[in-house]
Amino acid sequence: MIDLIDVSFQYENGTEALHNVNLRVNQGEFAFVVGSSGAGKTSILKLLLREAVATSGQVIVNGFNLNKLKNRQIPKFRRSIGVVFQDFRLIPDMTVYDNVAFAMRVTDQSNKSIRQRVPEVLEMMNLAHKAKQHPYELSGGEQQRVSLARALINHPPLIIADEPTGNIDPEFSYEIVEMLQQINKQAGTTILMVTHEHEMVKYFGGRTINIEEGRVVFDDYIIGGANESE
Amino acid sequence: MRASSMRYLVKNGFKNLWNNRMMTVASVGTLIACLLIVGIAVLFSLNVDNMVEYVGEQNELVIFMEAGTTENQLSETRSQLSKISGLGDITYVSSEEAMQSIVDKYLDGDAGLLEGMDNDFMPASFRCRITDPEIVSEITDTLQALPYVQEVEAPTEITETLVRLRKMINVFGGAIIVALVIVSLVIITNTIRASVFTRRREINIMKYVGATNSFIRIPFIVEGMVLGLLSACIAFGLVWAGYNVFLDIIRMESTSLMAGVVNQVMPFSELATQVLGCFLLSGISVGCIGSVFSMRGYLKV
Repeated sequence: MIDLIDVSFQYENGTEALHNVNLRVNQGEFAFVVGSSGAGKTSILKLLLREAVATSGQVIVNGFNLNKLKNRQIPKFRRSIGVVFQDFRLIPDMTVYDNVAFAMRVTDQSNKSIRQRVPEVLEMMNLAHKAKQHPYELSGGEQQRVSLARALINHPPLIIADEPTGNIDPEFSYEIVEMLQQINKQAGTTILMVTHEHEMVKYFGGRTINIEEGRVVFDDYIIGGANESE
Repeated sequence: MRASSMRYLVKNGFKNLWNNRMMTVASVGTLIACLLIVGIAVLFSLNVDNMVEYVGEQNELVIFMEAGTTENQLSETRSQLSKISGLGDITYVSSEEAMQSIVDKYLDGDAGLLEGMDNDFMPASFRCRITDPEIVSEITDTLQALPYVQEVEAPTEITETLVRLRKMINVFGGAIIVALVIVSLVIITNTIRASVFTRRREINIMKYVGATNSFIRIPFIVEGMVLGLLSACIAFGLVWAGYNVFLDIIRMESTSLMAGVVNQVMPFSELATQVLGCFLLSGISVGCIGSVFSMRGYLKV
């Protein structure tokens, strides 16, 4: 669950990136965040991932009050979120399996649970047959699925996807969003997906939050036109 | 933390060393050079210490008593002397003994030449070994103030020169060591920074998936410690071999006059633990501190 209450955010150089933003995303929701570049999407993500702290207002994510979160509690908080990036952020000299297992290894989990959980998630993402390959041997869509598998590995209640389709050929973009929706339906994982591809949002529909010039200018459900655009 | 995690992290540390092997070799080489210089400085100053001690002990301090001092007064002085720290064995030389030694030494045993002199022509004296050459002048002052003491003869000049020499060498040695510790820190920090840099992508991901800072640091600390440890061991071996070669050379070259001093050069076995301890301690701690330094900035995400 995400709760932004009257949040403003200013960069150190004085640029105001967010202005009195109120936003609530409940557990189990799927929401798109759209807006032109420089509108404040990145700033919201920074606040949600606790890379930055709001100048004023409250940011509450998964029950953690991020304004009051101490530095040494950040790791614990981040384990409750799965993050997917536009540039995948896979480690090139590790296999698909190791890339996914990495997220478990570095959070101090047992070899046994790693051996059990990683194949499970790879299977779920249709990647079981690619486990021994390296990221550069995969297509963009496949790489993003690896990164999604890594985000899912620790069963986070919330997944934040930052332009997950930005580096992927359009024909595979839809597949990624469908997978996110599937995860949302099956596991009840809250999903917040930032994108600038309006076409795709129109296609899928659902809750859409539009941010312009640091403010929420639209926050409602739109009806998907899956059939129209095909 | 789980044992399996620890193994994973330590393995990663070694992997870092191998992946950056050129940097590893270069920094181990430089660290060895630094440690060698430190080692030479330490060995040199330990030996000078030892020699100062030795030469100081060879010197005697002589306390001449006033003529006509009674037995009681002598034993009183003796007990006072034994309470003064910095003095070793005390030998009493009576007037007669002093006279006799002059006769033996300078007059070829012919006592006739001194006939008619007073019995206490030579004053009674205490000869004391000096165990702490550094405070010899203070001891002299204290002794001078004792009752019945006529004069104190002390080799203040020689000992003071030696003590000054030792102080200078210690200061120099200390300065060299401090400078080289800084150099080593910079080298290790740089090496690890390179390795942190090549792994910045992983570190970034680790931050996002919620790895703790200590988890992220451990491989690099392992890397730094191994660098330090490796250099310390190799440098120790080199110093050992070098020192023994040096000893052989001076033993062969030295004349009999110098033999006394040369024999005071300590064998390596007596110094080994100190040198090894110093190397290991400095190597490992420099490695650790260096890696913590080099991580700064990369942990902020």
